[in-house]
Amino acid sequence: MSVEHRASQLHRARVWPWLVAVTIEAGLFTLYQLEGARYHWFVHFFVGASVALAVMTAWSWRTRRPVAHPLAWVVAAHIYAMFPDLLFDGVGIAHHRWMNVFLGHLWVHFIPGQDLTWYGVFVVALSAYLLWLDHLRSVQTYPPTLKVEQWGQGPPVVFLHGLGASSRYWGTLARTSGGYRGIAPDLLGFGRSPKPPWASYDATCHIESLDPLVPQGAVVVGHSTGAILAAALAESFPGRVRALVLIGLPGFADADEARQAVSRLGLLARLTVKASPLGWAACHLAHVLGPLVVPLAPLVVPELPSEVASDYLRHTWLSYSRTLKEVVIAQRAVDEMVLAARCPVVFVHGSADRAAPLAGVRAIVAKLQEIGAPVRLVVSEGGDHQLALRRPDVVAAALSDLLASPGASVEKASEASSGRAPR
Amino acid sequence: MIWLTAVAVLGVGVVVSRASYGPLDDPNQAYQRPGFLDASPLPAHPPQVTPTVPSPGTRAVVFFVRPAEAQGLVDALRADTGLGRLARVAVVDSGGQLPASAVPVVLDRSGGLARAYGMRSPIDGGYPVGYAVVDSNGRVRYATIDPGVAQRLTEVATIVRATP
Repeated sequence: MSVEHRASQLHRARVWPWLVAVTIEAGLFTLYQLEGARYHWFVHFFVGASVALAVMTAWSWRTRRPVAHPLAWVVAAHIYAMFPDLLFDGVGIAHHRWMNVFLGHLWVHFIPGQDLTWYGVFVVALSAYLLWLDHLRSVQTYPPTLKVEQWGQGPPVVFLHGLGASSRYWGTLARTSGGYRGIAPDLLGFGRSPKPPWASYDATCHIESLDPLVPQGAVVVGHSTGAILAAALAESFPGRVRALVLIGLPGFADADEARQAVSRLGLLARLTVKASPLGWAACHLAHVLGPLVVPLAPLVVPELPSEVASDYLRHTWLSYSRTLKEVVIAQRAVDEMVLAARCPVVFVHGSADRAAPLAGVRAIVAKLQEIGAPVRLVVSEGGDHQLALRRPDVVAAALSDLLASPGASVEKASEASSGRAPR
Repeated sequence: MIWLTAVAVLGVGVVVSRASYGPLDDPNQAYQRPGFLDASPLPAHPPQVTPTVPSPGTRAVVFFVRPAEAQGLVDALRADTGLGRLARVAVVDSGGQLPASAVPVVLDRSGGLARAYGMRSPIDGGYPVGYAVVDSNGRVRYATIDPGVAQRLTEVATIVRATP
């Protein structure tokens, strides 16, 4: 990932939080200004921000990673520090000495230098925080280490889950198939893997993080977004990937078609595609309410195994929205990636897949077969986007064939159909 | 860079805020409307402003004004009936012609009353504009400079309610 690319991603990540924080602080400042008390706004802001920065520095020193929402910490600490003023103006409660529990609300005014002194403290606290972050980034290994599930013995098979899922998505398939060593990471920014706010979450970024997990001669199985990453991975490391199984590949002609298809998936997907602040807010609300919302996820998505449904909330707005935009919508032509990979590929697709319509994959397969590429399409009649969950037998059969003899597997039929999927 | 910009903007804000302190403001902003009682050593038994202000067993608010602010304050007090129910009220004017008023207005050319009530001197060194709150035991519990007090009688009422 280039420095420029990372910087531009960083810039995008910063705009919305800054707008929200500045709007809130401008509102608070106006309240004080109307009361002729802007001196108090400055003092409490500097005190609150300094405490927040000190806590953030200590927290990131302990965890070795940056705080996720630094501006939220600063605004929250400021509101806490000024809370007695809200009581004074809002409810008519005068200040009492015990209100020093609000970050020394009373005594902070009486130190020499007052607001200028607190401004100095704020600058020192901010400098310490930024210097620590800089140090942290310079020593931190990149890419971060992903959480990986492994099972079985035999030739290596790497499983890449789709958008919003995790390695646990492959549980059903793992129980159905065998004869290989399964390696299933949680993609960067998803499941239990790190979710660095400065990551770009584009294909290059994901592949960098996956690089150490893909052994020589591995078969890579990808679902949906994971299928795109699998193709990109094989293209990046030609020779290392022995074969590909691409399940439910979202094969779109261009970014507009991709955007339209994703928008049809529901309100949240539509908000994400449009980069709507509502999508951002909904995602952050889900994170704030995380412990409450995660157990409810299986009730909201009853058709998925409970652990899979729960994992759909274990990501950040950045990891989700950027992966959707950079990997799915702005995807490079899959046929070009497959050609560059020079390995056999089996596409496994449901005929009733709404998220990634079959026509797109058919077009890709036809194009590749026309130029003699070793590819094959397995269509599960009536199958939807979740074939690895609903028709693991179909996926297991395709994988088993590839493991037995990759070349022969793709040559035996250009398009095969499996029976209607049980609903 | 964005953090540095924030630091610069806030620094400019502090400087501008300090530069905009008015001549009637307290040189030490910490003592201007601190919002809590007993912020600094205050007189235990201030002199009577009028025969009934202060009175034992009753809270009192003594406003200190310059002639330019006197009429505005008296008008505001006439419009605001809430404060009168909470405490006895008197206005002390530093000079000039006393305004016609329902609340007692007394003259304090020498500034002796203001000093006796623990009022601090504003930046221009002249007569303070603000108020002092006396508790029902006759002790001054709150004294502050507040050039805009006529517009903030609700705030005065909040302080009076907190005073025993």
